[in-house]
Amino acid sequence: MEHRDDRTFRAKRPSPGAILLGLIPFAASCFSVPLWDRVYPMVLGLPFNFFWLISWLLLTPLCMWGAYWLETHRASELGRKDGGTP
Amino acid sequence: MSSTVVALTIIFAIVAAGSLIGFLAGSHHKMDLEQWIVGGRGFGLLLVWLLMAGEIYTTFTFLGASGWASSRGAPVLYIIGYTCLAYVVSFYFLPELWEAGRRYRLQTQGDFFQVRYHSKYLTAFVALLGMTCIIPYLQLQITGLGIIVEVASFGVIHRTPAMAISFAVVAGFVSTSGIRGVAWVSVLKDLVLFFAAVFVGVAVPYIYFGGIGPMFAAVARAKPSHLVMPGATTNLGHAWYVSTVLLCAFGFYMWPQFFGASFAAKSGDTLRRNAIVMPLYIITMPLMFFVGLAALLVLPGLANGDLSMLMIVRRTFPPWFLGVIGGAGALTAMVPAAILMLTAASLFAKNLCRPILAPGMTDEQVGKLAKITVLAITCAALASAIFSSTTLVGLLLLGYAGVAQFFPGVVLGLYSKRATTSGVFAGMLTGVLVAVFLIFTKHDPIMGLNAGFIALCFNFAVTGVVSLLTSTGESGFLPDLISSPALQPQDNREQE
Repeated sequence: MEHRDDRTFRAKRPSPGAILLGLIPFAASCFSVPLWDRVYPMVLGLPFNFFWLISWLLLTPLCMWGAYWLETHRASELGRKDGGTP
Repeated sequence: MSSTVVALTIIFAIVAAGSLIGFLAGSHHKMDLEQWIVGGRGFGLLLVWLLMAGEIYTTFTFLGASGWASSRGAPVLYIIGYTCLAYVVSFYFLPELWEAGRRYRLQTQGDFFQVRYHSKYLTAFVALLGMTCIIPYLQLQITGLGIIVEVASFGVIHRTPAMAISFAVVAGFVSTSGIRGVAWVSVLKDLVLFFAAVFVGVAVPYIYFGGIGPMFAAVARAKPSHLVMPGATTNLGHAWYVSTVLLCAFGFYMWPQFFGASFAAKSGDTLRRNAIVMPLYIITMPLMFFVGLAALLVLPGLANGDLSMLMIVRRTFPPWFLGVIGGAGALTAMVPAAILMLTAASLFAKNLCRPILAPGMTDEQVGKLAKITVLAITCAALASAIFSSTTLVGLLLLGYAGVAQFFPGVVLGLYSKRATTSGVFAGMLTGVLVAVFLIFTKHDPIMGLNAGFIALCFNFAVTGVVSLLTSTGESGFLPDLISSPALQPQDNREQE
């Protein structure tokens, strides 16, 4: 647990689990581009690469909601009152 | 001739309505520099979010995205990739940045570097770099407005006078409406553009091909290579996609206007929850791509891809509708242009002029000088809009190569005690020099990679190495007593 003293501010680091959840969209819509950059099979009339990226617009919020859940739970376990928790 | 008159009249009416809303909403808050800089945190939460969320509906989206879909093809997909991932990146660091902002009462990007690195020269450099990167972004808006006037006048008004008119329109808009006015016009333009995007994005493929699916089938038959990277280009392949998406995802919130706006949020948690849902707002972007791809087949031989959206609207719909779309497009250029000008003014006044050039100046003098500076920046943008032939997307990528160089200083500054002033200064200078060298010697992309990304890697490496060499292990935030002596760090709830 990091300590925030009253003189200098230090940012809290996110938990490994939350970072891992954020890496999923990066892996899916950035690093894996050679795997999905193709026209066929077309899905819902869209080339596969268009379909793939549009679906990740919907799936990314799910991943980040998971990361949010992890972060808020971690914060409440640590009994924090400051930023990052509702 | 009469269709010209109809289209231009409607554009003018929409622009006038937007300016009037801006003027009325802003008139009881006089827009001087103080109002913009100091008003920052007191600025309504809803309006801040409308301004920030509205960023994805600019001329860049409207004309640039459809333009690249038409002229380049699949590489345009990078826009969906990076905007989505930029919000993922912001999920982690933006709430912490906000916390630092609350503690030390930060208002601009320069302020952050001042309280973290305690060097007015580094701060001034940050302000200068931010203002420089704003030039291509402003140029993008002016070019977009010029295209709208040119196409809507059916070529009667040529590009150069069209851009000069646009410049006058933007300048007039900024000087008549307050920042609150700008925010309300932003609401109007988001609404108009959203419906225009949905309507045109669905109607155009339907009219010419019978639907979006049949349109893609036709494109896949006629130009199959257009739909996968590198599309119509030779050098925008997968390596370019990955490097550009990373550059822009890290660079997005480094734009001075978004960086500063994030301080105005109600809480760090608001920013975090916002980051979760933001990717859903990008859902209209693919519709712009559809329009561009339709234009590829319907208007073969179009010399400038950025014209594709308006040309296809002009060909398909009556002149009054071209006027509506053109008017919506004009608003999407005016609002961001106004915000960019105001951001440049506040960076100049607070982080460059006051601490370095003239410590003894009165507020009024600083304000006056800031206005002249903004005028100079806008003229630079106008001049380069007239003389350059870069695509709208190309312009934004140029800006990204610059602003992304702030990223190591911001993130290492937040999370590491070892990031030092000399490290960050050396890294940022290296990054800027590498980016400038590669881009202006036409080496972008280099070895298939985005030049800005290469520059960012150099920046990270130099920042890291120099920081480790100069580190005493304990560098951190200190309240800035030079430029705002009255502001002590706020008490934190933890201290109680």
